[in-house]
Amino acid sequence: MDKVVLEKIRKEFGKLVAVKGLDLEVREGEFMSLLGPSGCGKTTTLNMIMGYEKPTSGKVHLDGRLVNDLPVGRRDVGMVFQDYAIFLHMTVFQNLAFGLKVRKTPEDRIREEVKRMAEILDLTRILEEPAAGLNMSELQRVAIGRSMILKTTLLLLDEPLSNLDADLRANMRGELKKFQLELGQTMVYVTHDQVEAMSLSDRIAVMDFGELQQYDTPYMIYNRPVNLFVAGFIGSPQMNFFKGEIRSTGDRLLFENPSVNCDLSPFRAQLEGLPAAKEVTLGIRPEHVDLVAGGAEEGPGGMVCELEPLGSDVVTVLECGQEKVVAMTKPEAAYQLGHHSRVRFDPEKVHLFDNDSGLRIDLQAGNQR
Amino acid sequence: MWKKLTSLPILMVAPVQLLIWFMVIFPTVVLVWLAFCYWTPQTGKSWWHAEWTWFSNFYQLLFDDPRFLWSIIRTIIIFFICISVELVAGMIMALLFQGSFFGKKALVSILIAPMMIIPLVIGQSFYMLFLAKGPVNQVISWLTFHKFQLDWLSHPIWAMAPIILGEIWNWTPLVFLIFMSGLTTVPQNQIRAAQGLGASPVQIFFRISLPILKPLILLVVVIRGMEIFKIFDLVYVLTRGGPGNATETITMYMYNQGIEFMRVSYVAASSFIILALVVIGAVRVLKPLQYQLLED
Amino acid sequence: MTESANARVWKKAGILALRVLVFLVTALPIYWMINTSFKPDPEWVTFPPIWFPHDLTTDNYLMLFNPKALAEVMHISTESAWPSFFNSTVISVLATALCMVIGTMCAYSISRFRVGGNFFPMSILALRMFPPIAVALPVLVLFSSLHLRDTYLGMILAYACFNLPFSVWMMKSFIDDVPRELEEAAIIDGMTQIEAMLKVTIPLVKAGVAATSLFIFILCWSEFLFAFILTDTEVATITVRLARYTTDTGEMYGARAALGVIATIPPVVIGYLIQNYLVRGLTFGAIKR
Repeated sequence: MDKVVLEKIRKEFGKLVAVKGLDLEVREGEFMSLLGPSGCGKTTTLNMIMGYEKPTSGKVHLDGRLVNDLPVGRRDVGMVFQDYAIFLHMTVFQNLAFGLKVRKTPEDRIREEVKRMAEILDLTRILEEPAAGLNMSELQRVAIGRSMILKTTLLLLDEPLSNLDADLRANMRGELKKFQLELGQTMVYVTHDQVEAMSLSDRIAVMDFGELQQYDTPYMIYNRPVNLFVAGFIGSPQMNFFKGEIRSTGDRLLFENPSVNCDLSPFRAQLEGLPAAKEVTLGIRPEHVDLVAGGAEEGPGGMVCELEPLGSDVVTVLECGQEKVVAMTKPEAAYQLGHHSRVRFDPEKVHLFDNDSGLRIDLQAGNQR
Repeated sequence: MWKKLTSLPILMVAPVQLLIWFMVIFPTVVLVWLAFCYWTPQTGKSWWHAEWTWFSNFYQLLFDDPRFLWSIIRTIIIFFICISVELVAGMIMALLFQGSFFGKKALVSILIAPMMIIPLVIGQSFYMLFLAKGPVNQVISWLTFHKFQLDWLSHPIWAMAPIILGEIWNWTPLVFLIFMSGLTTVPQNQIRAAQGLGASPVQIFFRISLPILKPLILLVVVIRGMEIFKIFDLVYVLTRGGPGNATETITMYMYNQGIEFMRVSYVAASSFIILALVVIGAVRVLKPLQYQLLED
Repeated sequence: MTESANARVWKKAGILALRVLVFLVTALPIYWMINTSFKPDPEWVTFPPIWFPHDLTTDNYLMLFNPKALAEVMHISTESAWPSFFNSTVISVLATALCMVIGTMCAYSISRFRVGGNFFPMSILALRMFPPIAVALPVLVLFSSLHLRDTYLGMILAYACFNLPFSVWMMKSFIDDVPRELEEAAIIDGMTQIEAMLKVTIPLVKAGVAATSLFIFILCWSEFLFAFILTDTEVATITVRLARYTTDTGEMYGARAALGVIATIPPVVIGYLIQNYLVRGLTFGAIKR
């Protein structure tokens, strides 16, 4: 059964519509991420699930029950805040024990549970320390432990790793995934960091301006982005976008713009119904751009104008006519600034988007949207 | 050394130092001198010619004058009652009036008016309120459906009530203001986290807000305590320490002895004892506070 | 669902009721004073007490300032209240001025130069813990010898001294709020320390100066014990006058109430003006709203 079902959730703050008619479901044991830029409504959605905000319209179902009118704290949902909100005037033990104490759990039960949670989270050494003196990583573990100890049906996390240093963050990502799998905890994770979302989630809900853009597995989101926004938001470095026309020249179907072109003949069948000179946006990820030998007459090309070595790859930017083409090359190829090269887009990896709607033009299924 | 003395920083504090020496230090020396002497204005001699009597004043005060000791006990009782009520009432008011609502600014302005009223005037007002035929008795009569005509100010025990109530009425608004601003400093996020963990508003108040406000509570106790021990204006207007000595506080006792009875050196000795207690109290109490007040 | 809505209405009603109760308790003594001040003689002490004057009169107020006119009617003779008003004003204003000038200098020195470390500022605070009676007595003796009893000078010195904890600590908290860098920049530009203080810092704490001065004025105006002990007939302040009303006019509640109302108007008005600074003042700068 679905643990969480959000039905046409809408939240308005006066004139501002933070969330516009969201439909979402989360399965039991699933790690689901709400991903999007600042202000896209992901934290507001989290608050509505938790109960801090009431939806202007729509229904929130948890474990099959309608919980719109249940107050915070009674919904069997836990939350880890971005700034952890640890009770600084208490010890680590008291923080972890808080939820149980509030429910009047007997003392020995509390001690047992706290000890167990402390072991899982590696907090046993500092159990009696005042919370005020802890470092970020310890605070974060206390925040997680405080909620997890209550074994709630659902755990919400609001950008819990954004306060940590980069290396700590990578570490905690692994730990978090491990807890989740071990304890089978259903989690809804809010973040603006796509690397986090991609690496941790079973499914990602990409949001922008209060609307759900795409809700799918990381693989699908990466390889079959449903619109321009998702395509541009996911993937680093960002996907290349070129505006141009699709034209038939003789027996070839070509995507063309003054600077680059791409042979789309293999997809003639799918692109059948398009008007004669259709304006589209072509997207191709840098890792799918090939730099090949050959002169200007054989195809689009340009001059290397920027290089950014990343260790295993080099981000290579070429100036082709009016456009900048971003490609990924290997350090061994040792491209230099000013070097000329032809660029080739692998038609298998190309994405087409309608210029008006931003939606993907499907090249795999046999119809277009 | 001279250079240091005439340096700007020292010069800037010099006037304050001079005034304190003149008005406080020097008189205290005189006080100590008198405490060990016997002198009243009636002896005819000037005070610096008073006869030295060693510890006889002190002996009399501590072992032969229950009135003195009782005045101290009474003042301590007043302190405890006033402080407890002010803390609780101030906190309740702060909780009651927190958040914003229509007319809050105007209402708060009225609620803090009691602080600004001259204590003597408060005393007179309460005097009239607590007359045997006064409104307080009338209200109690209404509430208890029984004719209630206690003559508060003539009753050995109940005469304390207008004094204590007057002091509480006068200064609870200050406690209210302090707590009201203090409540806003409790981190909202911790309150939300506690809510999310299932705590009720009562539990949140006692487990989160109150512990965070502990230093503030301490500050209130010290600041109010300082003033309560010196209570005089209300006592003078309401009862003069009466009936008999039933409401005589420390200051009232010293006033009665020193001004009414002119037993100057005797009162000097009692002042000395009180001063000693105050100094000890000040050191104990202000030492931990100084870090809070001088944090820079 | 209906249940929780019902409970919410009761809760709101309860809170409103409590708020009204607090308001009434606060207002009662004030209201009673004003009420009594407008009552004529026979209505002062009645059973049951009269909550609104049947026969509104301003005689009580008139009598304060023009006692002779009503002496025959009231069968008493009292002095006019004018002199005590005058005395209170003079003493309060001058004491405040003295206290502020020397207190601000001292506060500046403590704030910028840390003169006296922790002990000196705390000892000024400890002044406030001194029972005034303990000091008043030797001061009385001293003043008598120095012929300072019942003089303006004596009272001004006394008040200026005992309000130093407030002027020093309040001004210190205001001066602390001004970043030192501003003065340092002025000094680098060629000003002396004093010039920097006068031209840079003081203008920036103007509001603080005003608030502290008014605050201390209230304290001087409302003070009773020292005035009572150290004055006699020449320099009696309004509080002393009030206390004397209690003794020499016996049960003249109306007149007492009227004088009380008038005497207390200045502090209340001033208090209203500086209400944002009250907490800072009464906690010696510890809490800055």
